[in-house]
Amino acid sequence: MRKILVVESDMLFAKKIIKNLENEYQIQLADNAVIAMQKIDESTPDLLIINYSLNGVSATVLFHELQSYLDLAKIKIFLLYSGLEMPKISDLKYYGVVKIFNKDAFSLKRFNSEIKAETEKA
Amino acid sequence: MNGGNDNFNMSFNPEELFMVGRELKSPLSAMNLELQFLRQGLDSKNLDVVTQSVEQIELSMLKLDRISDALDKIYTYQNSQTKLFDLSSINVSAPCNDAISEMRKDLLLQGVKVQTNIPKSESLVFSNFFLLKSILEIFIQNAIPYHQNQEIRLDISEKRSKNIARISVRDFGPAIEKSIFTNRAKKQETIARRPQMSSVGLFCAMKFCDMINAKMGVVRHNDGASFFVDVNLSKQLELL
Repeated sequence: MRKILVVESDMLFAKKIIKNLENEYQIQLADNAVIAMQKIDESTPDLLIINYSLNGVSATVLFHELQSYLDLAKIKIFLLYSGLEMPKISDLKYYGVVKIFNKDAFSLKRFNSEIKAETEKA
Repeated sequence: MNGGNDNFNMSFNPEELFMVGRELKSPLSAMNLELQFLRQGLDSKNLDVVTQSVEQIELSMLKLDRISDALDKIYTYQNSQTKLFDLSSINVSAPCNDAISEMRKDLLLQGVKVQTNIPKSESLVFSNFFLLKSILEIFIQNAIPYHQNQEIRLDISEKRSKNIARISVRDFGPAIEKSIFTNRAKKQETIARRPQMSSVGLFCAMKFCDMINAKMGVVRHNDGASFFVDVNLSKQLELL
């Protein structure tokens, strides 16, 4: 079973994402970047789903931290965002961000098929 | 101007406005997802999924309703001549019981109970029923995700020497910074550790405390925290 780590401070949303994926993947949750690093150290996930606007230590700091380890730098990232300013994938490609999803217009169908495609690649 | 504080300042700074927007969006995003689950449940005629989704949508709506209601109270206080927020002598247990009753649906949906410790000799406090009740609802809402054995606790104690009654709601969540109300960095640290706590809720509770001349604070425990509000005892007590 492929391992996915969801890094999301918005617990209402995180719980729904987990509910959606838990039958097909081994899912872990971290509600902030510090916990995320601890969980990644314990067990490297195949895919990371990260909210761009994390509480506390920011997602960008987490990206930099991951890039500082050869093995972790390769993990693919799905980025969630909410609000007017959509992060540009070209700016974030370097960090392993392969897909970006707007939480305000979130489609489960698209999300699930993108996850399936990405984890099958891995 | 109404209520107990003539120097009340309702204005929001940009950071607070951002916080409000973010918290309003959270239940909306959750509802959007839950509606998609609901559709799946209806398509597959899975009644369990449908029931669960309806409950979750209800929970998100309650959350949204509570945020907008709190903001509405702050706006109304500043901009109307309503008597709704005037201070008077009230029995301290009344807003506590009412807040628990008001939160019964949230508590039921999340399977959490409130254990109360209300002294038999009930104190009279000089406060506003609606605002004190709202503060307690916020405390309860913030404590629910951090329950222990499906329970949180509400205590009332009287400090005659300080002329106050303290109402506190005890949770069992991650550590909290004592200076969250005064230090921005500490506030951020606490919010990061307790992502299910409503910052807008705490912000509104602080405003409500200003409106009723009450003091709000937090006591740290080894295994959680107690958010409290100190309310002035009513002078009417001295006549008894």
